[in-house]
Amino acid sequence: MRFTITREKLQEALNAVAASVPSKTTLPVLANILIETTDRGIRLSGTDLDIAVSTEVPADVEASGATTIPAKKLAEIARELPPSPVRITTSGEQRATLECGRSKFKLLGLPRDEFPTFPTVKFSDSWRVKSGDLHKLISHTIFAVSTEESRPILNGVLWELRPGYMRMVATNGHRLARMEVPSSATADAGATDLIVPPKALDQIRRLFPAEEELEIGRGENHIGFRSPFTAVYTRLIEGPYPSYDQVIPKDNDKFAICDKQSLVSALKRMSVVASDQTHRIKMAFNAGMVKFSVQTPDLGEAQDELPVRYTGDPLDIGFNASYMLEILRYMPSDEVKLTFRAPERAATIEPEGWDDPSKYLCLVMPLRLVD
Amino acid sequence: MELTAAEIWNRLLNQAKNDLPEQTVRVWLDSAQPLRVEGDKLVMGTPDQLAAEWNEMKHATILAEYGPVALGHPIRVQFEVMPERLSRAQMDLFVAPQKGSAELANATTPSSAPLSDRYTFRHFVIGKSNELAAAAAHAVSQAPGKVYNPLFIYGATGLGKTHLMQAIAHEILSRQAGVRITFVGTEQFTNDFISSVQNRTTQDFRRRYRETDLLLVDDVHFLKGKESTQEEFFNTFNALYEAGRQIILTSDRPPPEIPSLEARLVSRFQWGMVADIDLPDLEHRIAILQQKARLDHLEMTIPDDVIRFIAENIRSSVRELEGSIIKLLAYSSLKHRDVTIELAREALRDKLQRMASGQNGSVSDLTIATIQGMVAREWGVTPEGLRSAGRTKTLTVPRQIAMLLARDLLGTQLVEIGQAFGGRDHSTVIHSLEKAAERIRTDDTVRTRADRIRGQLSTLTV
Repeated sequence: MRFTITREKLQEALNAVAASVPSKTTLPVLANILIETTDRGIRLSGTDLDIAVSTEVPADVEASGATTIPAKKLAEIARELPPSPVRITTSGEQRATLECGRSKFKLLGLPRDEFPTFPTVKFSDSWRVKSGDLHKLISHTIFAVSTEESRPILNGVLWELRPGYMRMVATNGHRLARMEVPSSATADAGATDLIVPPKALDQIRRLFPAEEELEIGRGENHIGFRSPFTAVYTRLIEGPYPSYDQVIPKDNDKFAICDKQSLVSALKRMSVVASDQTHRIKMAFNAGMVKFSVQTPDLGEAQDELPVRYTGDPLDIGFNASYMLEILRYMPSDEVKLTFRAPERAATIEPEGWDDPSKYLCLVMPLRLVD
Repeated sequence: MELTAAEIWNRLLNQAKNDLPEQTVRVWLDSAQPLRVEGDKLVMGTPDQLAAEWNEMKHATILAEYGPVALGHPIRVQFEVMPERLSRAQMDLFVAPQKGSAELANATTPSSAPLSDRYTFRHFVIGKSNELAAAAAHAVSQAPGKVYNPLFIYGATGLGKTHLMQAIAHEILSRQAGVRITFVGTEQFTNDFISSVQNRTTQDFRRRYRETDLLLVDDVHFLKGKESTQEEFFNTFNALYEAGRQIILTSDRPPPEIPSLEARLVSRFQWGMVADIDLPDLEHRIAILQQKARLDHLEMTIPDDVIRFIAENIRSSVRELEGSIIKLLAYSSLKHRDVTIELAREALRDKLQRMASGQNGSVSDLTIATIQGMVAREWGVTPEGLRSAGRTKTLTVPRQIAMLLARDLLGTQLVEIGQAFGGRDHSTVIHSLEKAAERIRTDDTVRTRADRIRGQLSTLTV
């Protein structure tokens, strides 16, 4: 194998795949990236077995072939190289030489055969979605995903593909975010539900520009996202996802509409005095006003007030302030609408006066006010 | 050697790892924690309802099957949400709060009567007469709103209609906490409706009955003739049915036989499954009594022959059967006497009479003791002599005659006769009855004496 590539293109390709290379692994070849020549240039691939990223960049190929090279070292070298063309040559299966200007490196790689093959994913009969739609769904839901190891299902984001729309849902059991966007995703493959690890979704956001159209391919336990040059594959989480519809309250009869920024400020002030563990604050809703209060033993207490448009019987309810703040950070409108039923029932937060064809809804479960 | 819960779980999990896909083990089983062992049951804790339900449905049976291989004995595996999760201050969307804090859940459906803890499937004894209804109820509890909707159970009073209906509710609740269940009698539905009309709160009424996941209505035959209530019931029914919510109804007769019930309701009631419950047969009655005794931890105090005696004589309903046991025990403790057939006969005299009059029209006011007394007087011996172990001819003849009379006039069981005559076994009784019959046939004096006693005893018969 022999090819020449610009330093920029090499770095660009390395950046794309670097995130899929595990920092620690028991399988040495996974610390390497796979370099293969193609008709258009070279293809770089990395994987940690859960997720795989591969990207193609233009290069001047003199002799076709493939090898694997330690990812971290190659990236460090690329960063330090002068801005000149880079020439990579392999001799035998494992030895690669890199030359750039007057610099020359010899690296010991591993044979191409040792690199795991990508899961087979069929892109025929696939969905085509706009990358921008995915970005929007991901950025509004991914924050709510659970990191609790004992709830592996909730460690994934539910992605529902339906004729005419798609939806993502993420929750850790304490709060939940759901967004729906209209989508013309041509669904030759029909409606489907996928539970996708957030790590893969982060890569989608990072690697595919918003205006690109992506093909989604489906394998037995994997899916692939593909643009003309780059592909991301990920293992899916085996379902079922909890029937989140059942926990979305439909009979909440108390409503509060308030200015998002003022609410955020008040919550941040209260958080200062709230317990580091529970972040517990109390909110007391009354006609026209919500009163905040927080009492933390060994620390002190605080009160605040905020005018709101509130309808319903008065209500005292406790929340983890950081959950509230987190949700408010992603609320796309200036005003937000909160709905409640009772101090032990889920509250909802939605954008108010949001002029957008999408639908966005967040849920947060209260904190008990008395232990 | 007793294994701890953790050791048992390790062994089962190792087996499971051979059979189940790695991801299944990682996602569903690794997150479960062994909590405790209860007899032959391993209780596992899961982080939320979803994991408990899924494991219970998909993996509990498979894991249990490893018992004999991995442990050398059978085991059951049960999954439930870890108790510690239930009481956390931060509430969870997928963990139902503990019962104590669920007052609010009840408050939202104020019209629901409480479910009885006893009315579960575990406490329901299945026999020929109710197996269809029980199977349908079970199916409904597994897939509410899907298989049989509505489920209509009919049968005479006291046979377990309400029990089955509530068992479904319990089963669904146990698998999916937070399900909204409304359980009402038809009378209450009617009263609620009337007062909502009077107070102009029909909106509330509708919301209450239509925003429920499971509607249980007892004794729908009381709807007869109540036109506007039927109208409202019809609308409620449709709203729930269309929303795919499960409806369960009970009645004392099948839908077409409920007088003055609108045809559209009759036809709707028959859309799903109509199952009947009949009177239990003898074996079934015995099983019911044994279950009742077991549940009340009574097996020490009620001997099998007494159970059989009650089962043979009380035939009207399950409720009556259970009532008999309660009455018998109360009687026994009041009188400080052991539970015997004799005591049962005394305690349940009113019920037995009713049964007898129901069956052959002759009410007996006789007891074996009266017969013994009279026979003893006729032959010039003492009743104690008849009950003694003595086998002189002066005793055996009257004893045999008394046994025959008891058998003929009271229809007393052989075992019971044996008991009443000094604890003789039933083959001795058979022999004695044959002897007595032979004597009456061959010996004129004996026949005359026996006939005289028969005559005297018949005056006692009302």
